This record gives sequence, C-alpha cells and structure tokens, in this order.
Amino acid sequence: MRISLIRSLPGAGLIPLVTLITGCAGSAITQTPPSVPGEVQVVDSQPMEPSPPPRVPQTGDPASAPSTAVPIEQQFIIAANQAQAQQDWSTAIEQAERGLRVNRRQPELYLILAQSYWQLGESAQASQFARQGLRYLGPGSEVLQLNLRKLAYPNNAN
Amino acid sequence: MAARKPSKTRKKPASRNSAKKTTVSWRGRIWRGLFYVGLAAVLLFAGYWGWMDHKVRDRFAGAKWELAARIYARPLELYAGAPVSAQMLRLELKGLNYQPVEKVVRPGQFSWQGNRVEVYRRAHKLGAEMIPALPLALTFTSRDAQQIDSFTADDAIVALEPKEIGSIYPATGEDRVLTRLQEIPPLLGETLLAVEDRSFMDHHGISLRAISRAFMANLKAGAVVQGGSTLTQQLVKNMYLTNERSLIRKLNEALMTLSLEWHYSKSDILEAYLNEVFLGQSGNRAIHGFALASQFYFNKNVSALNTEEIALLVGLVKGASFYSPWRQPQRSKARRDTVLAVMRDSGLITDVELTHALAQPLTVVKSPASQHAYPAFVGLVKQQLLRDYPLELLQSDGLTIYTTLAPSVQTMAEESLSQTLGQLETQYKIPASQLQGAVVVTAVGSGEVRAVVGDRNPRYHGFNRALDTQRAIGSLIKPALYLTALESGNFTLATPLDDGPVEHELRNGDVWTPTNFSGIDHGLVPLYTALANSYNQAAARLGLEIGIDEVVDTVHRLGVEQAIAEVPAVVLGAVDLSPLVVSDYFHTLANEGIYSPLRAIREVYAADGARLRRYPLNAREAISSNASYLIDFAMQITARQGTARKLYTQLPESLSVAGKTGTTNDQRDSWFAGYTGSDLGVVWVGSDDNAPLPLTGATGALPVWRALFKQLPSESINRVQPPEVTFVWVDAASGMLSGSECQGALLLPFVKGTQPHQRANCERMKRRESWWRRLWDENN
Repeated sequence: MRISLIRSLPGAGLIPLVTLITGCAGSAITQTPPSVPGEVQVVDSQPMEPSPPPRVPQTGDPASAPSTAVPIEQQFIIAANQAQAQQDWSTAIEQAERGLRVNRRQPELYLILAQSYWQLGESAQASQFARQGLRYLGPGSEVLQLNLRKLAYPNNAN
Repeated sequence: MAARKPSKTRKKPASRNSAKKTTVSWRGRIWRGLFYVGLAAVLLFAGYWGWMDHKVRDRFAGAKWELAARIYARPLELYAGAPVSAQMLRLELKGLNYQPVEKVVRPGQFSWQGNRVEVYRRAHKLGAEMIPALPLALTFTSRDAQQIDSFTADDAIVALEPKEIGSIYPATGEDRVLTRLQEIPPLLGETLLAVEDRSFMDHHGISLRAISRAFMANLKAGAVVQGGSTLTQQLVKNMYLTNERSLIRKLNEALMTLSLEWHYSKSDILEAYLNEVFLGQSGNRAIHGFALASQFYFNKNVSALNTEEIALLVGLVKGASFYSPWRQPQRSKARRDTVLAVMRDSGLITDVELTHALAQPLTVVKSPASQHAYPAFVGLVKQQLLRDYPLELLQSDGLTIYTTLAPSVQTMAEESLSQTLGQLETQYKIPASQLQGAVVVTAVGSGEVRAVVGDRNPRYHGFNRALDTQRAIGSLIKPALYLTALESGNFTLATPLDDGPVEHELRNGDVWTPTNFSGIDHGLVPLYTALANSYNQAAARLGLEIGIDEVVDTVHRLGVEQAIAEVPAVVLGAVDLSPLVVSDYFHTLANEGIYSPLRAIREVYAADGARLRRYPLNAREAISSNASYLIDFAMQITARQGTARKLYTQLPESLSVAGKTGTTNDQRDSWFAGYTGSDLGVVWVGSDDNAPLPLTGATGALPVWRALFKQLPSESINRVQPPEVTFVWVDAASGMLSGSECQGALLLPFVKGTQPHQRANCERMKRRESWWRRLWDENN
C-alpha cells in the first residue's frame, strides 16, 4: 500500500498540518513544512482554503487505502535477503529494484542494493545507493542508518 | 619417313582383320563412350545430389531461419494498493485482447461487475520460464479510484502477460516464433497430418500413392485441384526452392526431399514444417509457423489453442490469403469446418466435439496486433539497443526485449496530446493540424520511460519529436539557474532579487537587454517568486552574478550531456534540447537530486531463453538533498501560484505537483515539465516550421500535461524533509522574518542557519477556523 507507507515515513507531510493549524505568532521557526507550498496568510472574509489534509485510513473506511498484512515491497526485501544469503548478488539487486518500483523510498531496499554492489566490487555504486537510502531514513532506524553510513562513506568510520 | 611396301598376301587378311577390328573398335568405342558418358552422368548426378544434400544439411542442421527480435511492454503488476485505476486496467485488458464475459471460465477472459473485476490471466513465457494461466480478482472502492483496493490470487502480486509492442524482423519480412515440437498440441500435429499428408509416417519423402491420387483427381476435374506433394516436399519447396515451375526445380525438390528424409527424423521434419509454413500476411510482414500464427490470429500461445482454432489454422495451410478469416470470413469458416470434418473422420475428435466446434463462430481477434503501434517508443528502444547490439543481430537472432512501456499510460498520453492540440487550434484560431507536439512520461525513481509520443498522430512513422527535435527550452532552464544559486550558499528562497531592467555588454560589443514576458519590471522580489513567475530580468541578473559556467555545470550535473555554449542567453533557455533530454534533466529534480539515466529496456533474452543483459538502475548524487528540497518547494509554488497555476483548475488540490513552464522567443515553443511523487511528464508543443504561435508554456504544453495527469493515477509529492532543513515564517513580499499570524506571511524552507534574521512588520490577522481544520482536529 504505497500511499499509506509513504505517509508513515517520518516528516512526510501530515504533522506539518497540525503546526499550520496551531501556528504560533512570534515563533518564527518551525520544523514542519506547510500543506500548500507558497500559501500566504491573509485576512480575508473568505480565507484561502488549503487542500484538505489526507486522512489517516481507518479500518472499514471505504475511502481508506487497502489494508494488507505485509507491505508488498516486504516480499521483495525477503526475496532479496534470501538471495543475499546464497551470495546471489545479482538476484538480490534485481529483487530490490522490483521493490523500489513499488516503494521508491524504502531505505532497506537501498541497503540491499548497496551491500550487493559492494559484494560485486562496485563500491562507487554501492556508496551512491547507500547515500540515497540515508535520505529516506526515519527515526528509530539506527541500525539501518549505521549500515547505510558504513557503505555510503566507507573511508569515514564515523 | 621411309615408305613401306605392303604385300598383297598380307594386305587382304589384314584388310579383313582390319575391318573386323574397325567394327569391334567402333562398337567398343561406342560402348566405352557410352560407359564413360554414363559414368560421367552418374558421377555428375551423384555430385549434383551430393551438392543438394550438402545444401539441405547445411541449412537444416544450422540456424534454419533468421528470427526477429520481439519487443514487449512492461507487465502490469497487480496487488492490493497498486496505483492502477479502473480506466488504466480497462485499457491494459483491451490492449491484451482480453474478452469481456459474464463469467470467467478460461484464460484471456475478464468480467467487470460494479467495482469487482475478475481476470483469468493467460499462460505465457518470460524468458525461459513458463508462467501458468491464473485466475485473479480485485476490487476498486469506486469507479474513480486511483488504486486497487483488494486483491485475491494465489500470489500477493501478479503480473499480467506483457503486450507485444513491436519487432525488428529480418529484411526478408519473414516473421516467426520458433517452437519445439513438444510445445505444439498433439491435436494440431495430428490434424495437420490428417489434412496435408496422411502417409507422412510411412513414406520416404515422396508418396507415389499421393501422386497417383492427385493425378486422378486432377484428371477427373480437368484442372489442377489437388497436389501430390508430401509434407516433406512442401517443406523443401518452402525452405530451399522458389515457386518456379520447371523440371529442374522438380528434380531438385525430389533430391532434396530424399536427402532430408535420409538424414533427419520425422519429428525433425515435422517440427521444421510447423515453424516454416506460411500462414498469413500483415503489410510487409509474412507470418510463418503455427506459434506466431496463433498469436497473430488469436493472441494466445499455441499450446492454448482449442479444437476449432486448430482447425482454422490448419485450414490456412492451403492458402492463407484465400482463406483469410478477416477478409473472407465465410470462406474461412467453411474451410475450418471441412478440417473439423476430417478431424472427426480421422478419429481425432468425437461427433459431439464436432457438433460443438461447428457451432462456434470464428474467434479470431478483431484485427492483428500492430507491430507499429508505438513507433516513438520503439524508436527509443532501438536507439538504446543499437548501443549494445548490431542491427543484423537484432534482425536475425530472435532476441526477446522486455521494455518499460506502460501501454495504458501511452494511450492516455497520446489522447491527451492529440485532443488538446485540436482544442488549442480551435481556441486560438491556429490553422488545423499546424500544431505538433511530443510527450515523454517517466517513472520517478526508477527512471523507466513509461510513454513516448513523437507526433500528434501517434501511429505516424516519421520524425520522432520526442527524441529527435532540438528546440530551445526557454524558462525550463531556470530551475537549474536557481538551484545553482541555492547551492552556492549565498542565496535562499527568500533572498530578494532585482527584477529591474538589465543591460549587459557582450564580448562582441552588443548589449544584451532581456525583458520580462509581460514587459513589466517588478523591482525587488524574493527568489522563489522570481522562479514561480518566471521573471527574466531577475534570472538574467542572477545568472550573470553567479556565473554562466556554473549554471551550465549544473545543467550537466542534472543529466544533460550535450555541449552548451556558455553565453548569457543560456540562463533564459537559449539551449536546444529534445523532450527526452529535458526528461533526463527534470528527472534528477523529481528524483530528489539523484541522477539515474532514463531507461526504456529492462532485459534482453536470447532465443533459447537465456538472459543476455539486464539494464539495472544506476544512481549518482547530482545535487544535495538540501538544495534539491528547496528547489522542489519553489517549483511546487510555481504550480500552486506561479505560471503553472492553471494546473489546479482541473487537478485535485490534494495532488502536490512541481513544475515549470517554458516559452521561447516569439512564442515558437511551448514547454511544460512537471512531476508528482511518482511520475514525470515533459510536453513540448510547437510548429514544425518554427513559426511563432499565440501560445505560452502555460497555455500550450501545460493543458496537454494537465489532461494526461488528470487521468493518470499518480502519487502526491511527499518528500522527506532533510534534517538540515527548517521551515520559517517569512514575509512573502520582502522575504524578511515574520510569524504565522502575520498577514502576508508564508512558510519557506531554509537550510538551517540561512534563514533571515531581520523581522518584517507584522500586521496581525484574525484567524478563522476552516472546516477541514476543525475536521482534522476532531479526527485527531
């Protein structure tokens, strides 16, 4: 379920709306982006209506995104991990790419790409994918971050 | 020389003996001569036969035929949550010739009841792997749903068979799909023998019984109504000989037939025949063999043919054009029914099966799948293939090429272009058919090209504007310009830029004085406004300040490989690029600063099913995530409030889009490049003769893009905010620090530490809770 997955990523657009709603005068800095880029605050008898925020899917909600027990890209992660276990790096890469076609912001898939290219001796490509994966990391994924960083910056242990 | 004196006594007997000897010698000479002539003839004949034999074996043992390369679209993947709309699924099923039915009972059928769809996927081959037929069911939440809601099948993710979209066939025009005898349904083989050569298993290539039977039949009819050729003879005639009617050809046929039968088994010969036989014609393309004919007439694998379909194909052996099911349906059905009767008489089917089969109409597809339906996309595929394979190999080695084309997206893009151009011509009183255009749609992230349109008539095989036209890109260059400024660290989205008149002396002494499209000077404006409204004067001044070479370098980093002259006009788009190259450039922006070369091919397989090459995803970090985030935000403002704001007259507000319009001097070119979270679309509209048009990027190319994305299921931009980026309330007019309750304030992203510090005057505004905010609060 792509849409809900992306929503579940950190800083991915829902939280900011709350800030917009409760925007605090005098506090100039906020960590969150607006719902409508470029929307200007105006005093108006009919204030500008930004787009309704996306709703969190509810169980039984007909408008909600479909629910699956396991995200579909997880299948590709599992298949890629199995290939890695058998040192079949090309298949692992292939499976990871298929997963990215479903969810292009899944950092685990970038880690698989990075590890597999590293094993194939293509360290530059490995580093690039690891760096890309770091862009999509959320909080609470320290181990993943550590693994990605190792491959992204192999000459910098920190 | 001394004269000899012959004696009489010796002369007479000698004379007698001599006569006798002469007679003997004369006869002997004749016999000897005859012997030698005969020997020579035998040797010649043997040599000739040997040569024929060599010819037969040479071709039969090696690669018998040149095989076309086949090009396939990407297989549509179905799963719960897949971004597949009902419209998209309908287009895909139609393109694959699925039959709508009430109840799905066999592969190749689908039923659509309300929001529930059942599909029986066909069996098909992927490389060397045989993918079985599979029933599946899915639902949409509504008719307009943009994704699949629930999905039921044996697997969580199921791909439909990929549509064949073209082929690169041999120069001879002969096309065939090579098939092993084991893959041919036994009923097909048996029927063929029953109809064409009943004694095939018994004769040695030539059947005297068949010849005499044909002779009698022809004698009786007073014309040639029946042939006496065996299947082997037919094969020899088709494979090695011409249609010439002469004794020498007949002799060759006989010799080659005997050779073929001598060296090869019946199964080898039958397999070759099944692949060789001519079964139809489509333009220059000749359809050979039952496997290709099965796809050509029924759009199915030969192994899935039913009784009446087998009968039709076998009936075509007698004359594919004469019995064409499209041009001569009555005749074709009569021939099919004759074959069905032979099948019954030969014990291949029962009376019940015969009755059932006779009651069936011809089930051929409405028209054969065109090999030229997607000339622009296939043009791109060929271009990429030719980097790795010589043309001769593509035309002969039977490669299978899996591409990235999404047929439903392609259809949407084609219709959006042709319909919108027609509307624009009416609206702006442009002569009919003057406008031309091109569209390229790319999947963001993978860089896979989903659709290419190179002409408003998408079936036209001519100039491919998506790939081959080189037009000035106008303001499409500006994201690269502003990105360069943002990357320098000296500019933010709020930095005031001077949009006053510009005068710049060039090296040749001329003075460059670019002006705004509206002719109005805007004074100091924040950087994001200059981009959103595409102010030329601010852009020209900025470009000169940060360096033209720096801007050109950014354009290269974003994926444009061709040389660009480092002249001031570059910053206003005096760069000629094709829509495909513009897609490369904008894909890097859409892909959050990661450059991934666009790909039209996924994999290439050899004729034996072995994978030759995979075209993997490549990535190179072209711009930092911070700068990429900022420029993306500015282009979202362009779409919401700037020159591209007309997007939202038809797109839902909830869909976040980033984009840029482009218009060139005298409005000769109209561009729009825009992307969502999942798809990038680049549209060019103009005239082939480069004539000025009453169109801008916003009024020409943008409506095409909008028409496409109105239908295309696409994900909103929803970027992950980099940790070094923070949002700050600033005054929209001055770019100075402001607050959320100040009139005219807006939130802009800044790289931490670069946000403005000087505070603008704050005129407090009264807040009113909007309905959605209340709703949001209630739900949270």
